[in-house]
Amino acid sequence: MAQNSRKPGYELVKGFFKENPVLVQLLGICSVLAVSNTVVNSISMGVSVLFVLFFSSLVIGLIKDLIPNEVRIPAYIVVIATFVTVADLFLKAKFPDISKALGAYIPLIVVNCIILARQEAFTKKNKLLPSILDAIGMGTGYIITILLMGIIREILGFGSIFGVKIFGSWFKPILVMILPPGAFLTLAMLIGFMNFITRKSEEKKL
Amino acid sequence: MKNEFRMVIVLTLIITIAGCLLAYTYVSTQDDIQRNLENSMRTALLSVVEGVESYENIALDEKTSVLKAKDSNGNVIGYGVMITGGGFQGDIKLMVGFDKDASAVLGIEVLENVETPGLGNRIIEDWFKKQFEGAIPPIEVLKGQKPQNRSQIEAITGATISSKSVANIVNNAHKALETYLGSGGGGESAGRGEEEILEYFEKRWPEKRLIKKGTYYVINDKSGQSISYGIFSEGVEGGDTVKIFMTVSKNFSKIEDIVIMNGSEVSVDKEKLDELQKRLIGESLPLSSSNVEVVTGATIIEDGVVSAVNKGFEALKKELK
Amino acid sequence: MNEKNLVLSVSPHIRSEESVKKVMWFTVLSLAFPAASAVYFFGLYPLLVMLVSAFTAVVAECILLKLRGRDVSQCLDGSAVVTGILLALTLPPRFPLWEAALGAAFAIVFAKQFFGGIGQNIFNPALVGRAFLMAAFPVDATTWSPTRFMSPDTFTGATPLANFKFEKVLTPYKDLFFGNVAGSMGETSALLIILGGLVLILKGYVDFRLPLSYIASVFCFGGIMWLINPSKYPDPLFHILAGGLMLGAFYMITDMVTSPITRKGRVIYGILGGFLVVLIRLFAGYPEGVMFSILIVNSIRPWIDRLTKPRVLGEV
Repeated sequence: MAQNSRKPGYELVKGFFKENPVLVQLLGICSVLAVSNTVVNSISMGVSVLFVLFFSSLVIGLIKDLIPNEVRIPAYIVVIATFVTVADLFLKAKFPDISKALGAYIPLIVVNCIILARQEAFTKKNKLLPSILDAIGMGTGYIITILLMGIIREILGFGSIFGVKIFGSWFKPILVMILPPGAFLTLAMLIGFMNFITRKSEEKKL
Repeated sequence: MKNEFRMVIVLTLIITIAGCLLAYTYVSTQDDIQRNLENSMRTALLSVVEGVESYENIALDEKTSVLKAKDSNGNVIGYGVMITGGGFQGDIKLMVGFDKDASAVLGIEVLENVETPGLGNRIIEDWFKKQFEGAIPPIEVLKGQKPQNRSQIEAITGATISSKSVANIVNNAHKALETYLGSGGGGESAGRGEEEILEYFEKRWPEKRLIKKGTYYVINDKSGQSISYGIFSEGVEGGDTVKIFMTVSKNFSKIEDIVIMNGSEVSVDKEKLDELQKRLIGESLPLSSSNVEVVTGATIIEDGVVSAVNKGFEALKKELK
Repeated sequence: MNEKNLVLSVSPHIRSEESVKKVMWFTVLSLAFPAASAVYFFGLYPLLVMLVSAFTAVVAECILLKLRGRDVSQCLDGSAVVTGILLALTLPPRFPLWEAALGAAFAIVFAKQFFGGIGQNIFNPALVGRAFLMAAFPVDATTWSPTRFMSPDTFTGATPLANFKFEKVLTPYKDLFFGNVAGSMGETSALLIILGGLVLILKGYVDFRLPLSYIASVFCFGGIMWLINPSKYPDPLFHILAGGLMLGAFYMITDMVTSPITRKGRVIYGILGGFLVVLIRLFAGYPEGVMFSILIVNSIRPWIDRLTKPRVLGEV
C-alpha cells in the first residue's frame, strides 16, 4: 500500500491543512458550527475532540488485530464512547462553566464523524505509530479550524477575544455571527477560501 | 462457531474494561460534580433570599425545585423556587425567591436563557429583575406604561414575549410553591395544612359537617346525625414521618377516606400516592401491612402510612369506646 | 471564440427590444414612488440610506464580477441599484448608514453573486439582505420613528402591526392608506406603492396576477380568521394596508428571477405567499410576515414551475 511508504511526519501534518478533517474532508461540521461562538468554547471543544481522538486511536491501534471484523464497529464505538464519557465527567467536575456552555455537544463527540472515520480509514489498516500521528494531526487540524471560527465569530459578534473586549465602545457587534446563521456563513467562507488556496496551489504545480 | 465465540469474548472484554474505567472516573468525579451543583444552587438562592445559612432541596418535578431557605437557627426564612419554563427563543431557568408566607416575591435571578442578545436577553439586566422585588403574584406585564401596583411590571421595549415569559414562570413558581405548602409539605406550616385538609373535606361533602372534638373530629350529616369519625395521625417509618387525615366508619370497621398530607416531602410521586390513598379506602381496620396491596414506588412510605392509620384507629377507639 | 458572435441562452428564444438594462432602470424609475413616500414622511435621511445602499450594491457587484472573472460592466445594468434601493425601503427610517451598506453588500455577494450572478439566484437578494440585517442588528432593525406629522410624545415606537399584535390597538385606515404610520421607510404608503406598481404593470414588466393573487390571498385568509374571531384577529382590510404587504406584492414577489414562469404558477405562488403572511402575522412570534413568506415561496418556486409546466402537444 502506498501509505506504508509515506514518511511518518506526513501522517502528522496532513491533518493540519491538506487533509483537514473539517475544511477538506467536511467531517465533524455540526460540532464546529454549534460551539464555535467564543474562543474559549472553541478551544475547549477542540481539546476534547483531540483527547478522544488520540486515546481512541491509541487503544484501537493496540487491539485492532484482536477484534473480529464483524464486530469492529461496536468495539470501536465502545472505546470512543468511553473516552468521551471520561472527558465529559472531567469537564463537569473541574470546569463546570465550560461544561454548561458546551452542553450536549460533548457527549455528541461520540458521533463526531472524524473519530470513527479515522479509525475506519486509517487506524485499522496501519501500524500503531502512524495511527497515533494521524490522530494528533487530525485533532490539531480540527482545533485549527474551530479556533479560527471562534476567533472570527467572537470578534465580530461580541467584539472580544477570550471574553476580553478588544474594541472600544464604538464597536457595534454583528449579532448574527454568534447565532447559527453566522456559523454557517463563516464556515462557508472558510471552506471556500480553503478551496481557493488549494486550487491556486494546484495550478502553480502544473 | 469459533469465530462467534471469539466475538463474544472480545466484546465482553472490551466492555468490561471500559466499564471499569468509567466506574473509576465516575466515582472520582462525583464529589466535585455534586459540589458544583450545590454551589450553583446556593449562589442562586443567596442572590434572591438574604441571610440564608442553610437550605433544603425538594424536587417537585424535573422542571421545578423548592428550596427551603433557613437561617442559622434552622428557621425557615423564605423559599427559593428553581424553575424552568419556555421563553421566546428557548427555555428560561429562574431562581425565584419568596418570603416565608409565600405571598410576595423577594427577587429573581436568571440562571439560564438563550434569548436574543440586546433584546430578550435584557431580562438579565438589574432594572428588569429589580421590578420583581416585592412583587405580588400573579404578576401582569405592562407595555410602555409604568407599573401602578405591586402586581405589575414593565416589559422590555422590543422584548415583550421574553418579558411575559419571565412573568409567567414567576407566577408558575408561585403556584407550585403554594401547592407544595398547601399539601402540608411546609412542615412548620403544618397547621396550615390541617386547615386546608378540613376545607377539602367540607368541599367534597358539602352536606356533611366536620366538628372538632378535641383531638378528633365527628362527621355529621345534614340532620346532625354522626356518621363517621375523623382524625389526624402520624406514623414514623425509616426516618420519614408520614402525616395523614382519615375518616373511619362509625363502627370503626373500615377506612372511609384518607389523605396523605406531607406527600411531597417524601420521595414518592403524586400518582403513586393517589393510588395508595385509593387502595386504602374501604380497607378494614386495623390495617395489617400484608393486607395492603403494595403500590410499586410507594413502598417506602407504605409502612409509615399503615402505622399512621393504625395509630389513628387506636386513638379514636380510646376516645370513643 | 469571440464571445459577441455566439450567444447561449435558455429558451424561450424571443427577439425583443427589451434588455436587462432597460427593465432594471425602468424599475428604478418606478421606485421613485415609494422613495418619494419615504422622503415625504420621514425626511431626507432615507434618501441618503437609499443612495448608500444602492452605491454599495453596485460596488460589491463590480468587485465580485471581477473576482469571478466575468464582465465587470454588468454591474451597471441596474439590477444592483434596484436591489440596493429595495433593501433600503425595507429598513426603518433612521437605520445607520454603514449597517445598510453592509446589508446591501451581503445581499449582492451572498444572495446573488455566490449563486452565479443575475438570473441564477434563488432568493430575492433585497429580502436576504433584510433578513441578514434583522439577524445582525435586531435592535436597529426594529427601531421605528414617527412620521413628520406625528407628535413625538405620543409615539409608542411600534408599527401598526405590532400595535395590534401586542397591544390590540387598531390604526385608522386613512393613515394606513396614505402612509402616516410608523414602519419601514418605503412600506407605509399603500397609495404610492400602488401607483409605482401600476406603472410597472402597464409597462408589462410585472404580471398583474402576482400582486393580485398575493393581496387577494392575504385578504381571504385574513378575512377567514377575522370572521372566526373578530376580537382577536384584525380585519382583512387592515391586513392588506398595514405592514410591508403592498411593497412586497408589487416589488418583491414580482422579481423576475425568483417568480414563476407560467401564469398559473404565479397565481399559485401568490396564494401560497398570502397564506404564509397571515400564518406568520397571526401565529408566529413576529408581527410581520411578508419578508419570510416571500423568501419561503422563493425556495419552492422551481417546484411550482415544474408543477405548472405546460404540456407539450401530443405528450401523453
